[in-house]
Amino acid sequence: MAGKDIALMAHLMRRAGFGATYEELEARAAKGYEATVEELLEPDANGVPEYDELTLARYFPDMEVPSAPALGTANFMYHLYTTPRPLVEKMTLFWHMLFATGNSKVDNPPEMLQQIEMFRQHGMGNYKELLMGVAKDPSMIFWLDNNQNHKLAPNENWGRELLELFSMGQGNYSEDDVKMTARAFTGWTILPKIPRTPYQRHHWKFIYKAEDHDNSEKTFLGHKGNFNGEDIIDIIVDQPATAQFMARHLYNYFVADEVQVPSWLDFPPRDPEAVNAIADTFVKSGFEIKDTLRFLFNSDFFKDESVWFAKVKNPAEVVAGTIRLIGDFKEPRPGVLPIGLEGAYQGQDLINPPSVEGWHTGKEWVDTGSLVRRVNFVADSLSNADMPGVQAIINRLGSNDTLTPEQLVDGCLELLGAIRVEDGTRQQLVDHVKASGEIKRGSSEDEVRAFGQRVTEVLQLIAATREYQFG
Amino acid sequence: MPVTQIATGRAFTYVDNIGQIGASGPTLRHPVGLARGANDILYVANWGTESQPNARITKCVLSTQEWIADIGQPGSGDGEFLWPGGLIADSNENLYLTDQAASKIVSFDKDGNFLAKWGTPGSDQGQLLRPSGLAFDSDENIFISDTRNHRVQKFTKDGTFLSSFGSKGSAEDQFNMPWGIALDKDDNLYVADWGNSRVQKLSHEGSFLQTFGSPGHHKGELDHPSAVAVDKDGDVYIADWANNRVIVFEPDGTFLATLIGDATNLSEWAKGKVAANPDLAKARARADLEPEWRLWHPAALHVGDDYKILIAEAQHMRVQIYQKDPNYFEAQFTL
Repeated sequence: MAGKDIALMAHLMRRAGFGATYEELEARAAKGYEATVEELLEPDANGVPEYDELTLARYFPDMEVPSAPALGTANFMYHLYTTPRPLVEKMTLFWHMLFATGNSKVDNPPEMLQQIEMFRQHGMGNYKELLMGVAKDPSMIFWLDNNQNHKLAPNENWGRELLELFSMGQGNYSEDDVKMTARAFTGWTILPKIPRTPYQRHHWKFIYKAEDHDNSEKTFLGHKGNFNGEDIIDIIVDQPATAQFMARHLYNYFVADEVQVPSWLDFPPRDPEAVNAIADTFVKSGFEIKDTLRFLFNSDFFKDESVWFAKVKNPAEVVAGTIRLIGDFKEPRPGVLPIGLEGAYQGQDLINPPSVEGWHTGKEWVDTGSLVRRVNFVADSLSNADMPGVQAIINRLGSNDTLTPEQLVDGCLELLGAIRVEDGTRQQLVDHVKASGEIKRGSSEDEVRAFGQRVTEVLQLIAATREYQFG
Repeated sequence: MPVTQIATGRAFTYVDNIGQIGASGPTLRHPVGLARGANDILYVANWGTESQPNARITKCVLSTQEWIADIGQPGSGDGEFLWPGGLIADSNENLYLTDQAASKIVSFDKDGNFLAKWGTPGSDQGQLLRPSGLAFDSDENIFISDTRNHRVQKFTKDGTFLSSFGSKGSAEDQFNMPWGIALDKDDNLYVADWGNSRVQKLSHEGSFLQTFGSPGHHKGELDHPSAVAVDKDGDVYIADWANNRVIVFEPDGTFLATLIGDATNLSEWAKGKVAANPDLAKARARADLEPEWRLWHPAALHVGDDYKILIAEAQHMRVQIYQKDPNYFEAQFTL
């Protein structure tokens, strides 16, 4: 059975990152839980290198400025499985899932990646500033038609989603508030773009057109004034509903699966006390994401064993976590496209969510098709004994010449990240191993290879367990 | 910015550009290597894309922009490559290309027939790990930037290992992921020391002689240089990759000029694309096109004896052409 410290560290790294190898878990456990939380939150102060964008640009020029949507998807996924700063990427994914913007309409993968980069740079900063960045983001402006929001012909798309999906949530504003929000954001648009041909795409640019802004008086959530977009965001952020909404999102993403967002009006939070506590921290910190996350990761409700393996991993977590576990792509190499697309095959096409509502999460990640895909991807990856991460597991288990079936199963579960399975599941794994006879490492090349196969067989079976597919 | 940069008796003037985005024919896709042949022939190595693999060498006429052929194709078989890192032509106009994905050198004749492939992936002497830039010395032996081994290795052009020097680090004669490489008329070496943001000049045997540039974004500073070329007067041209410019130094390291890209005109290939779509012309007319004129990740350089300076832009799918005037006299000031 896992040491408690390592098991808790594994829980933290699954949630605040994309899992970790056992060697990393040991090193982090030795450093301590709170120190690890600090390192995840403050990578600069702790000497964690920045993401090496230049090496990506050198070896993947096609992915740096992707012409095809799949290359944009691959770019984001590549960051997830190669980053030295997992929480930064985890929050980047969080904001992408919340401020869901889709390449299906934007039709410009490099511009979508600009938005992702904004989340990467500011995703652990201040929520109000981030909201302002989103309001000025060219992809978002085009996605929600704010470039069609004119003084003489308002378009309410951005205004409605800002209130419904990006801040307060349904039930906390009126239809008039939506109209006023739209009017306040008139004139927030984008410059004409350079066409993608004959040379290359170029980034779009935000522009505020004062001559197209509605300067008349507006009434919004009981406030009256000649509001512009900044004023609306100031008012929104101060609403208790916004703190509640963001807190529930953070709980759903980091702690335990909630019902889907459209049902939040009808169903109370799974743990109202925890959500209230997150919301309280969020407000008291002045809407600082980092402070809110520090509270969350150090809270008892996050550490509690009842929430371990209580969340269905999203496909990005399944893919990136598995690639990190097996140690692939330590060196740049061709083959990033199928890894990026794997998330899409499992139901999460990064940079292309199905709608502005984003992906439904939790158990909705799993259907008969996606489950088979998830299991097969992980099983195939863990069956590759050439991968350094798989080899490390084999070597570690092979330090004893013979193993009982129980030792082999428990060892595999432990080395895959201190996975705790139900007793029945464990017994099935043990029975399977028993049926294949004695487990001996041996010394000849054939014996060592056969031992490796016995190990990878168990790893592949664990890939199909509920606990591996949950985080 | 003026299209002519004047410096100490020299002038560097933008002339034209070749290219447009595409997967085959008169198009380029992430160009990263340049070589010239006789009769005004230009060869451009294209990285291609993983989503629509089209790594190839484009052969065309430099002055008329007439497209002639695509040479090679993506893959790992004979005559196939991925991730090209550098391109050179020998005195017979046979082409040598690094395949960074396979850690090999691939050669073709000038008509595109496959000749040979050599190189073994690894880190032992004579083995290669993601080799990128390459250059001939006066004996037509090949110096190769052995990028992920952080060293330079010398081979005969049929692949026999001759020597190796350098190791990972930032001291003199150490390297960090070297990329482009060039030799001057005296067979001194110039290595674009990418990760150290400098160019090192070394003797033919690999002894350190001089550094060009230092890390930064100001005049004469470098950010991850990708390529280097030396003209017959000894002026040194450096593709300042992450600063999106080319910097020219005198042989002693004195800063001369900065080229930032001046492609305000459409290439011959691009003209056809725009002419075929009136909406495209309209869309271009309403946009600020300046970002399109400028260099974007210049990844390869070639300076010929005719003082034509060719700059391949990895992200602009084209080659910008400048002309050096080595005997520039200032125009009458009172005009």
